[in-house]
Amino acid sequence: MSQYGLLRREQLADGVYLNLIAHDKTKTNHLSICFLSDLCPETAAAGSLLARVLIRGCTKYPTLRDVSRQLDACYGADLDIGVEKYGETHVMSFSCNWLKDRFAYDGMKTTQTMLEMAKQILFYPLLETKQDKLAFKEEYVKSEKENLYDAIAAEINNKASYAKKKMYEHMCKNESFSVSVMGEKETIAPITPDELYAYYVMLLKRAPVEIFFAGSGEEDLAKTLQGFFETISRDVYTLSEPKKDIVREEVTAEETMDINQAHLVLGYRMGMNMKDKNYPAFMVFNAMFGGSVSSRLFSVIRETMHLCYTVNSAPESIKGVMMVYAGIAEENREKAYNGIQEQLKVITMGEFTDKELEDARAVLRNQLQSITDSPATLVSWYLARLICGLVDTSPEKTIEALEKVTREAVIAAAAHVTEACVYFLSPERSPA
Amino acid sequence: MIFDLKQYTGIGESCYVGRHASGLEVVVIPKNHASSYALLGTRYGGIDTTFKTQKEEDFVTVPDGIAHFLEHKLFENEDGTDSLRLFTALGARPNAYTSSDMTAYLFSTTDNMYKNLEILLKFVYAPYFTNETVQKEIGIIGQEIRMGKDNPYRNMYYALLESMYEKHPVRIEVAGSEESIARITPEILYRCHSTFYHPSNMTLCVCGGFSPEQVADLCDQYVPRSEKPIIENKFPEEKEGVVVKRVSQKMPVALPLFFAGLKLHDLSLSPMQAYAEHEILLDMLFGTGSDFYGRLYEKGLINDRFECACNVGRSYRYCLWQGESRDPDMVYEQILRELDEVKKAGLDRGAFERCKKSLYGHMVENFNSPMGIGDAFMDWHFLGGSLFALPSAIAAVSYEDVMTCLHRDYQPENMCISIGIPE
Repeated sequence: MSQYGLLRREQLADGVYLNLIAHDKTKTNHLSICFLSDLCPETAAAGSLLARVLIRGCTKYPTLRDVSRQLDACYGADLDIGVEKYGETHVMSFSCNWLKDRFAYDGMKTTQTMLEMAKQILFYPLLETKQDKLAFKEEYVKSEKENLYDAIAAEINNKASYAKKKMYEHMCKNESFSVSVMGEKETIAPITPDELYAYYVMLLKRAPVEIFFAGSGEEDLAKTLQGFFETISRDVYTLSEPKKDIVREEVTAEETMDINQAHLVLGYRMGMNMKDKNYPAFMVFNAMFGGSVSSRLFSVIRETMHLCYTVNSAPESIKGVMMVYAGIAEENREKAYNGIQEQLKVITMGEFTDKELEDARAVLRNQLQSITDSPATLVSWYLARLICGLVDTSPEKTIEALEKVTREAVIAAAAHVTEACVYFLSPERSPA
Repeated sequence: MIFDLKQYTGIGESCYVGRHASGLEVVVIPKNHASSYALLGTRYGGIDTTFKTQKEEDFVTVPDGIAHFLEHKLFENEDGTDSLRLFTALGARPNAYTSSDMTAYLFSTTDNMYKNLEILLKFVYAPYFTNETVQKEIGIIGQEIRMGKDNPYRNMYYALLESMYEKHPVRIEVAGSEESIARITPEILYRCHSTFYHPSNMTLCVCGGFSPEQVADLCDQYVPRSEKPIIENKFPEEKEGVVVKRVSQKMPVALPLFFAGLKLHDLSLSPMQAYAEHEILLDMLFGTGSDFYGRLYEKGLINDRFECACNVGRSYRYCLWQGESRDPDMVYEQILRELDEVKKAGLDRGAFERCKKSLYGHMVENFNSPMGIGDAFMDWHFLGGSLFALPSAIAAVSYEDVMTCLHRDYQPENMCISIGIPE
């Protein structure tokens, strides 16, 4: 069994873990430092704003220009702080990729440089004192609020992403999952620079932290990273357990816009999540249903019925929900909807061939083996599983579990899937 | 078939290069990843609308969107099977893409590498088109075109190209239009295939656990041999300057979008040298570490979606600035002013060294994965360059090269802007 992609986990401080991923296939090293919280409107707003303010500058590199110049000088290293949701867990990740030492043509010690930069950006932010309170620089907080409002408004520029997001907002109304990870203007606006600083201090002190490193040249890495948390007296909180699905009537929602193509998005409850022992059977079901170019949705809705260019199914396996997306001509809404329902029924009734089942398994096997090639993909993969409480797992172990999935188990997984929402975004009609 | 082994010790890479008896160029890049990646590409894309071979008297101009249409149709086999399914049955992930300059058919796999390569070689050289299959594809591609029309960035990009280029076919949408694809027939598809899909116009690039000998063996079995067409492309004479300095259109966006361009007329520099010089210069003057960026970002005139790049193609080149702004005209004015001032004041040597290192690092990063290598290799190959030589070409660029580039190419009369305004 390949050693690549296997995780070695060690504790650095209370609630702070370092996950070392054995990896030497890339020209670059990868580091991610992830702060976890329960997702709610306030966390989303504060996290989103904090991520932007932190990379505007720090004590050692006070402006965006200074930060960028240091990254350029380190052979075009990239560094970002982003916010994501994994189920109903909010994750603020600092991540960077940089060229390994041995490819630097001027002998620069790139790993050392980037670890120092990570420490400066995350742990030595640019602060000022306002009315006796320590706060982030007011100018940065103000301008990043404006940039954040613009970024939120710009979500409408990608119609397919917008449609998928709206579907989940309708389907999971009153559940944390519907909270937008970018935050909303109403919740962002009132945050003051000192409140933002207090949130930052709280995160460093109390948030569970998962650190990932994939690459080489990491001698003393654990010691260096432990040093980052040395002066912080940790008092880590426990993340909430996943909540049970709220059972409600199916929701239908529609919207129009000045567009050419319509977007049909269906939402489902999976009836399980990735922690469930039957999850491998669901993975095979999804690959067969709409998760690859050999899937039923691709072969039937696109290739046979010619209704679309893009059609697929995509689960969010931490929350336990699934979406089917199709970009179609408006007049084909009913045909597409009926076609999708029909394909789901086919699998629930067991009317699929052994070849389809084996094709789905082969696609998944390939996807899982390929994950080990990409540090960033491996990090996301492991983080999702850690959030679900799955510690002793790997792409290889998952492949072993997939080989044991039976036809009956796939049918049972399909039977658990229930439609919960239909969302349709279509072209506006011109006035008569 | 004989392979030359080329080694690039600075970046720790190597590749085997050879030419098969059919005329096909074959490149084998050894890598030790879980996935292997293979692409079969042709020097045929959206710009190749007017052409002839030695067999024809006159040039023919075909409807827009044929190269892309062909890419979709080739997956369908005469026996009714779909090549996509043949790949996925072996666990591979297949795909294809068409750009202005080229078309490529590819797969990524962790298993059954040679069986998948056999499928690739077979289906690309076995065209099968009927009126019925052509009509069916019009429906699918029609949806793809509509999806493209709803993408504001795509609209802005083509509006810019139409503002820069009066006649050059780079201004044509690669997928064509619903009107142009409705004119496609099986006869036109066969003609384009027999011209541009001759192995002498193509390259096979495999990256991963493939052995050159086994790849050569599969080429012997499945790559057809026939008389080589001598392809002549006809690109229209494009005069200096741009067509129109400013265009704007309404679109469903939140903030105004802008795409500004600089048309590069002088194509005498090699593609790699041109790319390296312009990318370094653009980064120095307009990148995130520049005074320009810092100044405009702090004023709220641009945000982190501002980018600039140099696009080098077959028979065309241009530089591009894109982003969102409440005042795109002001951003454009600032770009022009920056260029004017730096021509007088000169370039900062420290910034030059820094941006050169950054570009070098980004190019080496292409070698992180078989897919990254394969895609970038194919792009550069059809431009007459080599991905493997690119890092050292960048390292060799001098401060004087970049100064010369600034004064030679950055002329306001070759610049224009396309703006998208919220409805």
